[in-house]
Amino acid sequence: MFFDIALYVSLAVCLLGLLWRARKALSAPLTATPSAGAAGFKSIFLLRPGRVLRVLILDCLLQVRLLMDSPLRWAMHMAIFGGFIGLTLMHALGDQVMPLIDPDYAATLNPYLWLRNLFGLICLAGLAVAAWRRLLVPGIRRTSDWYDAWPLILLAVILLSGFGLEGLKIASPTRYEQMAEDYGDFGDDEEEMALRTFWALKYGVAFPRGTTLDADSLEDGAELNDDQCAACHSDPRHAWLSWPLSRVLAGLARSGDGAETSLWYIHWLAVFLGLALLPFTKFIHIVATPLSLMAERKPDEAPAAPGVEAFRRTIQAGGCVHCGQCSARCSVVADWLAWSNPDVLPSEKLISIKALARGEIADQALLDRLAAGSHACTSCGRCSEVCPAGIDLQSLWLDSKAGLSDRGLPPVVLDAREKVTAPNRNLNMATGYLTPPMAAGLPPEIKARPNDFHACFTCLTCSNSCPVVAAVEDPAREIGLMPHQIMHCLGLGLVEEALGADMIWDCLTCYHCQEACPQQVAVADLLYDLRNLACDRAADQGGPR
Amino acid sequence: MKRSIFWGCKIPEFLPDYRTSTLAVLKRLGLPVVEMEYGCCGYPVRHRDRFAFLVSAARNFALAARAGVEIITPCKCCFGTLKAAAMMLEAEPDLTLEAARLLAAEGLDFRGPVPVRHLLQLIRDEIGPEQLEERTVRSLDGLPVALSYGCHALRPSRVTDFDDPLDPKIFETVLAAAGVKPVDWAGRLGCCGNPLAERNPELSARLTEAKRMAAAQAGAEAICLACTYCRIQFDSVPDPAGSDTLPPVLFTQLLGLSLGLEPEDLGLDPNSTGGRLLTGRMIDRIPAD
Repeated sequence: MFFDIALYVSLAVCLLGLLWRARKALSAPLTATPSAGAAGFKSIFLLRPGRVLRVLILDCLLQVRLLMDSPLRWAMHMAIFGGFIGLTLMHALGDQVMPLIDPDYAATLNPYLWLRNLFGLICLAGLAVAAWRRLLVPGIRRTSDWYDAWPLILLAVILLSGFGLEGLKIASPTRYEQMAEDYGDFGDDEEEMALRTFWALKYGVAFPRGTTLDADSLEDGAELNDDQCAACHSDPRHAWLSWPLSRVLAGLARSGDGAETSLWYIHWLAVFLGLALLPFTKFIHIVATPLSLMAERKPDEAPAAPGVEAFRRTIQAGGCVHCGQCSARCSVVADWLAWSNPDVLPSEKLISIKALARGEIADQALLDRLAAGSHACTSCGRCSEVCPAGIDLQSLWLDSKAGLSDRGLPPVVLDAREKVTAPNRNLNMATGYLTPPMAAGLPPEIKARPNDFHACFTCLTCSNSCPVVAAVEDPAREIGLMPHQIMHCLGLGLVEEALGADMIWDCLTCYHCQEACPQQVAVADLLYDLRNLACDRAADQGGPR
Repeated sequence: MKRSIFWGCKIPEFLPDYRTSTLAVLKRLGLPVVEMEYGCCGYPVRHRDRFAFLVSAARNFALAARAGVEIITPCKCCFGTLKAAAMMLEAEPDLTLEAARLLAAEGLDFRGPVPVRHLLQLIRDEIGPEQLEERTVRSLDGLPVALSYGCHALRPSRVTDFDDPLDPKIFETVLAAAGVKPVDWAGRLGCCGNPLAERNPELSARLTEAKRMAAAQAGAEAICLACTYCRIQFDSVPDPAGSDTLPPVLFTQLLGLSLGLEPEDLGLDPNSTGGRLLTGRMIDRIPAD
């Protein structure tokens, strides 16, 4: 009874949870246009049945896309997926499903004995590879957390407790006695003992010490077994993993049912917990990721109406498994190494973007962090290519970056001109003279490099070779401080004035200045340093880093 | 030493025919290269943070060292950035140690820079003008072309060591046998404007336009580029005179045609302005003895 209640409650929680997650996702816009749910569903799923079916078979069942990217990961995932599906059909739902295929089905018959063990081992092997990758492979370790550990741990608990249960059941005298009572048809006590002897000596039941057994009656026992048990029981040795396990656990089985009962509860509680919590854990990908794969717009499909594309994006964003492949292959992982900003990495950035869309990011610091991470992306497109859920991450990032800029969180390199340079513009544009306040002294940020401004002897060659200066009619008024003037400011320790030069932002980095300088002053490199300094100052004032 | 190609972040998504044409030309010239996965060279983030830029470059050096390869890149910005980082990392051991520490946590062993060359250098040094002469089967029959050197490979020359910064010859050398007539034009050593595309789009476009005008004034019929960003810039800034006048072409496509490859092999649409111009002017050539 406990079993049935637990099953229905878990199923209910699971289904309600799925509905709740779906509703939450669909009401959180990831595009400027609202998501057209009904039109989207029709366009993307109902009107493309061929595409949907093809994806279901090739990408969801056979996982061809994954195979193309990495045979190892395919094998790992197939082992977990295939092993678990095998066990679900052949064991968890064995009594419901298997009789349809095999009218003589009994769980304790071959080939189910060795097949269950096989599926269990395959699944465990897959889990072991997954765990090893999460712990040891640097690209994947970057993003691994409890969200990824939970399914591995839960599945391992289910499988290991399952093996243990089978081992205990094989050796369990209580089980034997129950079966003998329910199904045994014995003429006399001798027959009972004969069968018991057979099961003790051949089938590994660990009867309590002192149970009467007679080795001579083994042959009779075998005959009785053929008659009364063999229709449903094959030799348990065929459970090639559970059998040796049962030898190890025989002593435990002999001493009572405590262990078996405990393992039974652990096994089923784990299953029901997994089921109930499915919508709130990584397990949701078994529903969400196929949808994302089916919704993927292939190169030969033209974009649909904005509302439908918005719906597609929502479905796709929900299909993220948190496998971490995007982050493992990201071109700008070096920025994550340098800044420790998780939002540089695509998988973590996606989580933040979805949270933002749901209105769950209240903290300005987190918003700044997301902006800084987002703007580091160089749009190389690799994450989109490797995503096993087929998510069009590239479009998502392009829109997200634009959206962040629109809400006042542009790349700091575009923001600092207003934040840092504008307040420092001390050049009197009318007279063309600089009115310096107190000399501020040089901060250590401007590294005293071997070729620094101290060598400058004011020849003006840098400014005369600058194409930006050459591009305007009246540089003193249109550009502000020119390269040579910025070098002079630095030489005089007037860093704030130097930061007030728009040239910092208008510099092409063409290096004509540095190349031409007769004193080998690293003019362009110093402008890079000032740019970096200004960005840091802008970030200090509040805003993305 | 084995050679690996460093595409950078832009070619695969935004300029795939640079990849197609580069691989086709290298194959035709018998220069095997390996393709492996790198990260961003650090060029964009350099404006924001010097350390992140150096770690970006260091990571690529570590990846190359692990594979035992040198780096060849068709992008001049990647080239200039990696060369600058190489020099800075060598001059500042503290930074090298810091970068090595971060990369070690990723299972990468960073010991220092690896050799970096631009594609033009590879072709000039490993094949050279004489061999190119022998292998050229088609000529562009004196088509006047503005060869654009751009910025980041030439300068700062002490760092990049690419060519003479005031009178470079490498581009002309590599294309000598192809039969183009390089024009002497004011924009030859100038910047295409792309670095300012986000920070000052108006000025950026003005500089691109100035280059176009200089090329037209010198009588060029096409502008030839050897850098990803330069090529992209000429598409992003439309020619106010109309799109059919002075097409930008990648040097690999031009070179490839002269070596006997077809437009399809080079990712060149024969119906595009550049495609029609080049295929229209090609003539068969008997190699000089």
